[in-house]
Amino acid sequence: MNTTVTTTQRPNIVFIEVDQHNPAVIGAYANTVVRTPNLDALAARGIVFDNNYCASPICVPSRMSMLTGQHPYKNEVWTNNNVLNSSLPTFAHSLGVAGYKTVQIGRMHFNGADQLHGFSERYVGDSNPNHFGAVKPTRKPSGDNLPGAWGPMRSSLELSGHGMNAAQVHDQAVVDRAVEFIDDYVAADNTEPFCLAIGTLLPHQPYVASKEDFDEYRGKVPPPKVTKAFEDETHPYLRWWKSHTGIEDVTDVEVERARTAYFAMVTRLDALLGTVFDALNRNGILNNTLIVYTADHGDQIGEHGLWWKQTFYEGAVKVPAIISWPAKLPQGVHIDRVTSQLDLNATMLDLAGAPALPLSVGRSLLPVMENPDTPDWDDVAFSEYCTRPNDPLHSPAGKSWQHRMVRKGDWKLIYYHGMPSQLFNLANDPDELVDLSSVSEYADVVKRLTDMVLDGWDPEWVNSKIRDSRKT
Amino acid sequence: MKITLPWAVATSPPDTIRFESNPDWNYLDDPQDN
Repeated sequence: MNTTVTTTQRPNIVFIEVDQHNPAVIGAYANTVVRTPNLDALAARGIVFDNNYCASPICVPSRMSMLTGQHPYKNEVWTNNNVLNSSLPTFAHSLGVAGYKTVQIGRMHFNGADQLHGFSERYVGDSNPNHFGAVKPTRKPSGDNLPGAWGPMRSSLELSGHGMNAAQVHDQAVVDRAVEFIDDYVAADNTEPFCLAIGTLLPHQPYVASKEDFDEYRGKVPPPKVTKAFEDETHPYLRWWKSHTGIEDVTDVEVERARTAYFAMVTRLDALLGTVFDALNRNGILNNTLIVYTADHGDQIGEHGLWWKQTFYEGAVKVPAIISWPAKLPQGVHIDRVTSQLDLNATMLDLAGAPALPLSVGRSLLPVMENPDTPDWDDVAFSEYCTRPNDPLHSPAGKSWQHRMVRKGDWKLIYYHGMPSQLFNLANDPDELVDLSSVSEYADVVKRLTDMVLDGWDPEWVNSKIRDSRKT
Repeated sequence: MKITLPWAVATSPPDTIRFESNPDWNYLDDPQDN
């Protein structure tokens, strides 16, 4: 494979970052129930990364890490209220330097006055609570017909089913604008390539799908593989989180209804994205467009008795990564190496011939795409979840959390500051059923991975910084 | 707001990119069992 990129061959880039898509709910990731024909076709025309992790299992820090190629403890964006420092370069800055027209359409969850962070144009935008000066969402916002269902709380399961949520309306506007952009761009016969970043809100909760989509899955969605009763939850953080969010006793009806809606929302999302792929094809630029599909984090959708994200189980922290560029890259390939969201950033810049970001720790995936068995790739990914004290949604009164995960080869260690760690061997135990952290035989593994987690990452420093961090 | 500075003509004014979600877009069908 010759992947050398010359300036005349530079691809257009369509970077799609959706919200809360568990890769296990994609046909191309071996789900046999969900219908995702467009993502499956994209996968058939590209490379699927089976073990790709987000930098934080929550929206804003994951997204800002993806953009900057820096982990939260470096760019100091840990929470959904933190503001990314505008002096930190993003992949959009780099692509702009390389001559790309950089356009962002839809969700990116920027906080603060800078709503561009290197993009030269932006359309549609986010839902309003994410914007500087907008009214902050509350647990029971007046006038919201699904009160609390957008947040990590039981009401999102109670208020689930068929109907409509604003995410679908927003995302329809997003893909309509993306199609318009592509049509106009090609019609204008531009010579500079474009980077079009598309952000959707689907399939984030509320677990509410249109009736047409919901009915497709009624009675077809299996229950979670891994169930866990609240009384069997032993880890102190997970026990607190389940209790705090009110999911100790979710009913079977709620589980089935919310999961059915989630599958339905994924299929709707897939159809919406299909209109963008159609536009690229109709305009004759599909083959020379680098398409990257990913999400900011996953969704537990009931596995381990958990919902949404905010944990490091695979359902929450693993994210889809599909890279397609038929003119240059292999097609129909699955790669099971361990990769990070930050690596997608570096890969796009590498393939575009754009300058690498100076502070990024992302690694271009090109060597792995050329040789999936290369011994030169380090199978490692980190993810971080830290909260502010007195954040009523995510922290206990007067306390805060500093958690960090490392996936290294087959092993995953989850470090909870001040609490017991968890250790799983994902080769033998892909469902994360057996915590090996207290098994003496694996003490050396715990020690080695804990040292990796704490190398350069000081939870007490994080806690001191996060109290005074920039926030909206 | 209109951006007129030559170096920033490709920049969308920030107040045009807010998506005002309408509460009426969030609802559950009633009833749920049909």
